[in-house]
Amino acid sequence: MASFEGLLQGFGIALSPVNLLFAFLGALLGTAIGVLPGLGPAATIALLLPVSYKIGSPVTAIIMMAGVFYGAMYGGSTTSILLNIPGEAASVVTCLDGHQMARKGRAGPALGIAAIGSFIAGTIAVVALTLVAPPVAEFALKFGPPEYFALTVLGLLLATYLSGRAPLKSLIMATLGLLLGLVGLDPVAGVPRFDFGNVNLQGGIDFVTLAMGLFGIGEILLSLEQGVIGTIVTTTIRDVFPRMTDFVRTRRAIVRGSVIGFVVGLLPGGGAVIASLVSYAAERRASPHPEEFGQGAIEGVAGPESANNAAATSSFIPLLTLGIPGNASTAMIFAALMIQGVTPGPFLLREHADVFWGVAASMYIGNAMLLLLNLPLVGVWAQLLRVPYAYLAPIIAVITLAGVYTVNNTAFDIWLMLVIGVVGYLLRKLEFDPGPLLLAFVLGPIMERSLRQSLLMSAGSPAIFVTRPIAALLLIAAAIFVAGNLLAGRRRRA
Amino acid sequence: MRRWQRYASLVLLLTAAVVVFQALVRLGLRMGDQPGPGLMPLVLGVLLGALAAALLAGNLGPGEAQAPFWAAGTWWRPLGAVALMAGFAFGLRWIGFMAGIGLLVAGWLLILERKRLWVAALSGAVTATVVYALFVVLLKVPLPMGSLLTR
Amino acid sequence: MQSRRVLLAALMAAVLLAGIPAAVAGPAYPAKAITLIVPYAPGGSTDVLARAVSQVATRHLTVPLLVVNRPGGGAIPGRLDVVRAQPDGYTLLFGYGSGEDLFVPHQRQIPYDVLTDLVPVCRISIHSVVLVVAANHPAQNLTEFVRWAKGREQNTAAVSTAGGVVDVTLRLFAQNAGFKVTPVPGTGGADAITRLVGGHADFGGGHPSEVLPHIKAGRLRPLGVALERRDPAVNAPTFKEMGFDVVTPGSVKGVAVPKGTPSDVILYLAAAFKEISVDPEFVKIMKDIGQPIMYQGPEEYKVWFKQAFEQAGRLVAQFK
Repeated sequence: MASFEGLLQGFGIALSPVNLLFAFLGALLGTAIGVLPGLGPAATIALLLPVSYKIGSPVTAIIMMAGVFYGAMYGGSTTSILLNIPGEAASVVTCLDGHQMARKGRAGPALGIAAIGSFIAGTIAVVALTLVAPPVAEFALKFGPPEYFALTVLGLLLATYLSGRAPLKSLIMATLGLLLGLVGLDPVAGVPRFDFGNVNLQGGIDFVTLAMGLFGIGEILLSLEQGVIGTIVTTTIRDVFPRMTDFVRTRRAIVRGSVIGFVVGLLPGGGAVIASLVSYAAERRASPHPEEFGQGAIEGVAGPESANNAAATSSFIPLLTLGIPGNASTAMIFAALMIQGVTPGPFLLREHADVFWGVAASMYIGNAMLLLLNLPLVGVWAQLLRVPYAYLAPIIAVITLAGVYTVNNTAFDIWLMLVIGVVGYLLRKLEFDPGPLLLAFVLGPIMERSLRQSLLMSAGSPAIFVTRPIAALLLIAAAIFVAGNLLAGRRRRA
Repeated sequence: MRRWQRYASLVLLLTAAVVVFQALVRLGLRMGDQPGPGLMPLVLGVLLGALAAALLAGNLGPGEAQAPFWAAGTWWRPLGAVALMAGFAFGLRWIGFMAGIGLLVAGWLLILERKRLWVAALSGAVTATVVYALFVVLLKVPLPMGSLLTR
Repeated sequence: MQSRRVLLAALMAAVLLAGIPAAVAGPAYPAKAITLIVPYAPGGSTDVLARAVSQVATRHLTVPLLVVNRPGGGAIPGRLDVVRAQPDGYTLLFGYGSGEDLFVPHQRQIPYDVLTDLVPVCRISIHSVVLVVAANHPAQNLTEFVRWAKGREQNTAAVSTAGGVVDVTLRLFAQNAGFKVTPVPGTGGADAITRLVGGHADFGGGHPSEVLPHIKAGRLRPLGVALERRDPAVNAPTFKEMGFDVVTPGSVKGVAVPKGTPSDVILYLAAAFKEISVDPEFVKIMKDIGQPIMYQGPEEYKVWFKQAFEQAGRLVAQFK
């Protein structure tokens, strides 16, 4: 029961007034930037790094940064549900059903279940983190390049099929997303690819630029033409506390989302985005009424929102016990720890027990704070978003312009975002779903890198993907998934 | 709608052709004894071509009654918004972010939404101030102030 | 009409007020925050060093040093950003002297001239390259490792980036020792070490700040260092003393500015970095991450860089 003693010690640290204050500040800031499209947790933690030097104590600094990270998972859903714009990448799938719920006047329950699911999943994940950190993280190391390749293939296929309506169009979007991910200097040979002679494109297209263009600008342009108030919900937010029937309907989704999120978050590079999509697909499969998905199924909000929060928490396991950051946000925290003189790794638990247990304990407290903050505050944001669309559209435009500019401080990104925005507008008019494109864009570089690394490891033989058990298992799962969908499609047509 | 789907698949086919051409001619599939920078683009280009061809095949033949692609009367509004934002990006270097945001929001409300001048001007000023407080004061992001206003 | 004018005036006033903080700062350098561009992902050795510098800098500079990561594309695009930045001393390249500056120009074309388009400010550290194997590897020392590797058709090596210092060093070593090597590059040092620890490469290389935590934890074993003399932070012999004539300059961490930056600005910055390099807090951080402080001023570093660049060219020419 060493973890119990450790946790007690951790609560002693986390409950000190200074640490409570910084946990609260982190959670508050995290929710705010989660709501704001354009500013993600990684960028915010980067901005906080200089502040963290002033704090001095590594525990306090990491408590605040962790709060930003999982707080963003709470906040991201608000924008997805109310505006149909993902507040950050991990809440892309929340748009699908969350926004439909909002359009049907059920924004309150959608927001409520997102916050409650996040709380339950976050708490489950923290408990699991304190119990199983060392042994589980050992398993994540078994993922080499072939396993990553297989995982991205599986993740991508799940992504294209979950957008629903037209698998062919979704596959086209996913392929385009993968191609956009190739733009820039080839990572091995250094050859510029698809830069069309423009040096600004040699660094590749930034995720924020693409996401803001496709979702922010594209959506605004469409609504300007069609006058559809579609993106903004004008109904008042009531019944934030979901009804009993909602709880009964979502209890399995929340638990499943927590487990999926926890496991995916352990994988290096996996993280909250993949966790949310795997959870969405799982809910659709498991649901007795899959036809409701995309039309405002509450499980489609509860599952992914639980999963991304669990993944955000569990990604601290490889970071703290192995010194291996799994995503951009934890990489920032890794750097902060190093500078504070704390080397993340197996020694951290022994030499810096205060950091590990202090941060773990602060996560219990932080999740409780976020639940209390979010249920009432959701109403406040909803009031903010009730501003007529005539005013909201230019404000969204301004936020995206400023957000895109802050990524690289170049006006080029603004131009690029405008071009992407026009494309996103045309795609919407042609009934293409830009969701799979964005997800493929994120997975593309990982996929190509792991493919090329795998082929280097096997001296060019593709057999490496079937001779390694984990990779083979993932690819078989992908094949079964595609076959099942094709068969189901045929049966439906017949 | 089918006609526009056909146009879209033709654009996609053209994209696929450019990708395959670049992969084969400019990038190369092998690099010594290693997989080269053109391998992944080739696979994706061929895949995109096949999918686009399937989309084209599925949309041949006459479609339902032609609904106009552009909504009558409002087609100019997205165009105007793009022009305003492009103007912002263009003028950024000289007038800076804050003045640019003020003018963008004011112009947007004035031209696209036909708001009264004072409403537009006030909204522009308020938005610029809030963005300044949020990004520059609170988050300490260095947004450019423009060469005309700082010299 | 009257109220409309008042409101317009208010708008203009608000807009102008927003511009004032930058306007009143005056011409003296430095008047605003200075940006350190790190062309690698956060968490890597260059990023960790840059953040350590910026942490201490508050005591030696009147303005903050902002660390901005610009990773991807083999670390060239981040450098391009600096090359094309205004030469006003507000945009600095951090990590000038890494593999992308010393080795890559000899191996493939890059869109700028590393010797003339960038002007050195100072050198801060040199991170040695350590050859490491996973702890369960049968070889206990370099001689055993070479014997083991020689008997195999293929040996995969986890390296940070293609053509970088670690890649070049391990290829040179394999050539010198006479075994076959397939370097497998990734996104940077942290990624390479992860793959090695997970058992997805036969051996690998990294800098002390990246491998030391894993060596301490018993996951990796250092076998050799590609330096002239031993690295005090790493408990391993040099390649040279084990009979392999492979010495590389390591990953040099310097600072550079775009061509055309005024010389008084360069001198000001160099003086500030010199103060930072002897700051007790900075010294302690560097000791904790196992990296030496090797400060050189602008002129000295320029001469040294030129020599290192030529030496790198000779090294790279060996395997062509």
